[in-house]
Amino acid sequence: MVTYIIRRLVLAVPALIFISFIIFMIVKLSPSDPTANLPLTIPPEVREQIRESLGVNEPLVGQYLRWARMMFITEPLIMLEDALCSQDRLPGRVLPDGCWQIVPPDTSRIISYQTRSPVFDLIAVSLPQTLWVVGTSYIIGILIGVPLGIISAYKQYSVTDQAATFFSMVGFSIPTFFTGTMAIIIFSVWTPTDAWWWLPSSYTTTHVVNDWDSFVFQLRQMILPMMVLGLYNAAQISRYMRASMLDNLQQDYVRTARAKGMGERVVVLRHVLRNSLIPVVTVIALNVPAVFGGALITEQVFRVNGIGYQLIQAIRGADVPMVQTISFIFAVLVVTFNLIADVLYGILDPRIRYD
Amino acid sequence: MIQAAQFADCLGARAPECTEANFGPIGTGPFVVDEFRPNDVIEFSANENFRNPDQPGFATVTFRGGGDAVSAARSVCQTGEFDYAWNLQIDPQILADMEAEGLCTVVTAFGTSVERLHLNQTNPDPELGDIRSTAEAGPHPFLTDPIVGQALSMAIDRVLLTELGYGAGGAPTCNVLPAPELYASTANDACLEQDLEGAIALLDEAGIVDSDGDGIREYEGTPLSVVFQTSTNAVRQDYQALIQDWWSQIGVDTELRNIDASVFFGGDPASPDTFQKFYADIEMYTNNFAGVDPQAYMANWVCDDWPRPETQWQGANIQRFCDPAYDELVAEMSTTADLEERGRLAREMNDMLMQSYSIIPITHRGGVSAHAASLEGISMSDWDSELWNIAEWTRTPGMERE
Amino acid sequence: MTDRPNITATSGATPAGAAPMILSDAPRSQWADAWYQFRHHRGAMAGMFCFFAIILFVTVGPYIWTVDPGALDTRNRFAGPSPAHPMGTMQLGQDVMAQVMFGGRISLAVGLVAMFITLLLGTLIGVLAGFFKSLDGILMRLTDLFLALPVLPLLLVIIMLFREPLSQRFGTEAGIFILMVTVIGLTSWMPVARIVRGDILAIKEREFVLAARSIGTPPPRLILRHILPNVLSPIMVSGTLAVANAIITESALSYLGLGFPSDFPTWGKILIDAVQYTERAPWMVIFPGVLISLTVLSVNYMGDGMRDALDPRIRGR
Repeated sequence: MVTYIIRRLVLAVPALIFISFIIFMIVKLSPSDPTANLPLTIPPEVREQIRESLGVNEPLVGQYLRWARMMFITEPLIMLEDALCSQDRLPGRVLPDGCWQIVPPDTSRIISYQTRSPVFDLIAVSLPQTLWVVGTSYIIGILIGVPLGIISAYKQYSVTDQAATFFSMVGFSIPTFFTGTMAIIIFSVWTPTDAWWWLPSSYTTTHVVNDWDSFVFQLRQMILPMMVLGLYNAAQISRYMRASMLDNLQQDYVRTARAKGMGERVVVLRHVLRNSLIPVVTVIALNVPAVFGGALITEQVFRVNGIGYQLIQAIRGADVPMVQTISFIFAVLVVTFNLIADVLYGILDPRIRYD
Repeated sequence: MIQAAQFADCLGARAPECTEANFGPIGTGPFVVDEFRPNDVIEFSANENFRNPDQPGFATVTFRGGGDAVSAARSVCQTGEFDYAWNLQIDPQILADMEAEGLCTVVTAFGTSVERLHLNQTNPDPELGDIRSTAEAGPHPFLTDPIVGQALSMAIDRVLLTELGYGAGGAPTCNVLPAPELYASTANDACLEQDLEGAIALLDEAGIVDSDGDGIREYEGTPLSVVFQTSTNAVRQDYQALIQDWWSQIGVDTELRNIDASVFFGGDPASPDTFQKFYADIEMYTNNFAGVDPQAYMANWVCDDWPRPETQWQGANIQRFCDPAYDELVAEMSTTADLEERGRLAREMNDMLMQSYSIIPITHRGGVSAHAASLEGISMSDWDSELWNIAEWTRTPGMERE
Repeated sequence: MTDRPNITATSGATPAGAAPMILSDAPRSQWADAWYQFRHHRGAMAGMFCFFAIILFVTVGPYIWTVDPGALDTRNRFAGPSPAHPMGTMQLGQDVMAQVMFGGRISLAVGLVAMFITLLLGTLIGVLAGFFKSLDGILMRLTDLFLALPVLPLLLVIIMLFREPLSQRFGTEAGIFILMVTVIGLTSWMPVARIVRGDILAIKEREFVLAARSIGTPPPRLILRHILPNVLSPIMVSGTLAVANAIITESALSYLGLGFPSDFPTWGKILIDAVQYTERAPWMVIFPGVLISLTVLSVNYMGDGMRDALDPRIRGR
């Protein structure tokens, strides 16, 4: 297993470089333009100057290599500087005395076309709310989805199962832009503002949690997006869990285990569950990178302004460095978590061998 | 107002490199920036060095981005979480319903924006491949005839369109240059009234009739079938649906297309879907000019300014209009200083464009904003930033919210 | 530690060994058995009934309810349900019932065809990667690549490159339909492939597969007869979710102007357009929303029934 992991990790490097190049080509080929959002009154010469200043017209390979150099060398080093230094930076990205300045302050970084600020700074300000909202709602989705799937399968065609099926199918087939709007209308518009169950329709990203009241505020502003996303995720996970449990409950080893006099709880939760987890682990591993990628629509509906929102703005504005960088980090997560899933398969079912 | 010294090194092509200057400008306005998160939030607090010590009326101001226009309006008019929302291009019916709840006031101000149709004067036939919609493709088979354009214009009910699409945020117009008043022509106002019978009679008289009985008229053998494209936007798609309906009543067949705004206005020379390439017969969008002088704007329609492959499809004469007499007027205006005379020239150019029927103006659009009913001192203007007098805004006494 | 079943019991896990479990007078074929089982599955029958009702509604419906879905009537905007408009009217006075009938044809077609493409591609790649060790690396890296691609720019590129050639060859609507289902299929097969592969990795080490292999069963037969039936459940679930996903994705694409033209209603697009009118005209969101959910629910129940019917272990229960 260890050799397998090492081999996969080594192979991941060329694979990721290849993926990053394909992503780059797709983003470059796509017909949107960084000047599209500017007012039409700006004359074409000025537009051309703006494009020129962004470096849009340089040869493609050169642009890619420049991005790659900053992505793989400059940015990691800057992160390292930050990690080693406990104080804030001075103006001009100069580090205070006593810190180790690895990258000269005037080295160019990956700059977003739209906002003209370093892409990693943008990611740093939008990542927390994405992790808070999308991350927690995903955990809630798992916490609801897995038990619901187990109960549904164990009591197949019972009232609980039918209700869970109905709930998850409706949850999956109604898009989040609709459930989100409904939630806002019910809990923000129809509810009187001073009622305790009133919930804000938008998310304040600058809110700092430092005491009980501010924590309650944070919780309140997270409830609506979490509800909407959690419903969607729980729906998906519970379906896979149920199907897989059903398959395993019919297996002969279950009959054998019961015949041996094992308790139902042990049979279901130890033997059946463990053998049923493979598809669920796959689905969860597929979705964890998506947590980082943010929820495009839900973030828009509730104005969470996390990574998903930044990404959609960047795509709209043909902000190549931004789209490219976010997509690349996403690719790294995809590769990592699929590897983790493969390792977990081996742990769940020791008969699976990769060598 | 920003400081010249700070930005001295940041002009022109170097602008993107001045991250620090862009993010921390030093200025003389009523507020100073506390926190700026691109695409998300800007927090201001009162500038202690502001020229008037009694102003501004607020200690802090927070701008929030994100979401769509409906949710922005909702957060001001229904939930009351915010005090001001601008650029509310949403169904006026919804906005009116929200305003009726009493939490907010909707304000409008007009500048020079006109929602208009451009009628391609060159041939956009896909068979022509790369040369379509250029001079080489030759003139359009029927849209170069003003009779056809006039009939299309007469069939449109501008009053209804504007009411449904913009409500108080728009006014029907027959001019591509609707303001300032000095430059606004009144010669074309007959178009405000829809005249379907007149349009049908006009086409019949000109011999443009349905000769093969399929319900679509033919112009010298070419059926009047048009591809009508615009950017993706709920109001524009409603306009398209209504216009398609009216045109079908006068025997013109319309195929609708909508293109994502980032592509349509993107100007990527490789994309077939940009408004400059105009690979369609008719397209609709809004344009305007900055400031109050229309000289540069009216110069858009000189022959030289056609978008074409040699200029990477840059150029402002989108419908490929060309009239030497018009070019002369443009030249004359650039050497005329007298304001009255400039007004006359601008009106004449406007009328010339209108009578060519290569451009069909529909709605003079204003900016629409909503502010909390408790805010006072707002005087909206579409000629400047809406926040130009933010120093004078105050909260109505007794309606304070935290 | 999990199971130590004997060989005869394990062979019962394959469909081939299932027939003797039913004590019937005349020998019946496997498919007749499955059909018998399916017919006695209440959920499956309800789902099938509902599904055919929806298909009738969108195919025969327009011949009975002959209102033109594109007809505008600006004096009757946002009219509530009434005999003249059983499902009310939309923002330009279009009849909601005519719109959902017409839109349902496209939504159903896109949903089902895209689902088949997704399942076909996903299962094929998943089976090949899971079964043949030599293909696993390359196919899974391909899956990683597709998972990592930013979808929206990818779609913009595909549509820029292929919309016109396809429209010219097959006509505007057919061209866009082909483009839509291919694009949706191409961007959603990866989870299916990962799930199928994960299951196959475990199944191919089970005793009955080893047994079948040891008696010299050729790989294609091994896959089709012994392995595929055992990964049917996750495929069925993926299929159900794929229908919902395709209907919604199509609407998002059309909404952005990347799909069908705006005078071509589909359920998802009616829903997207209508969301802003939720308070003003709730009927505009309720009917398309309910129809999408009903379709997905009925496909789900049919899938459940099909899975149960093809599973020999629970036959005769």
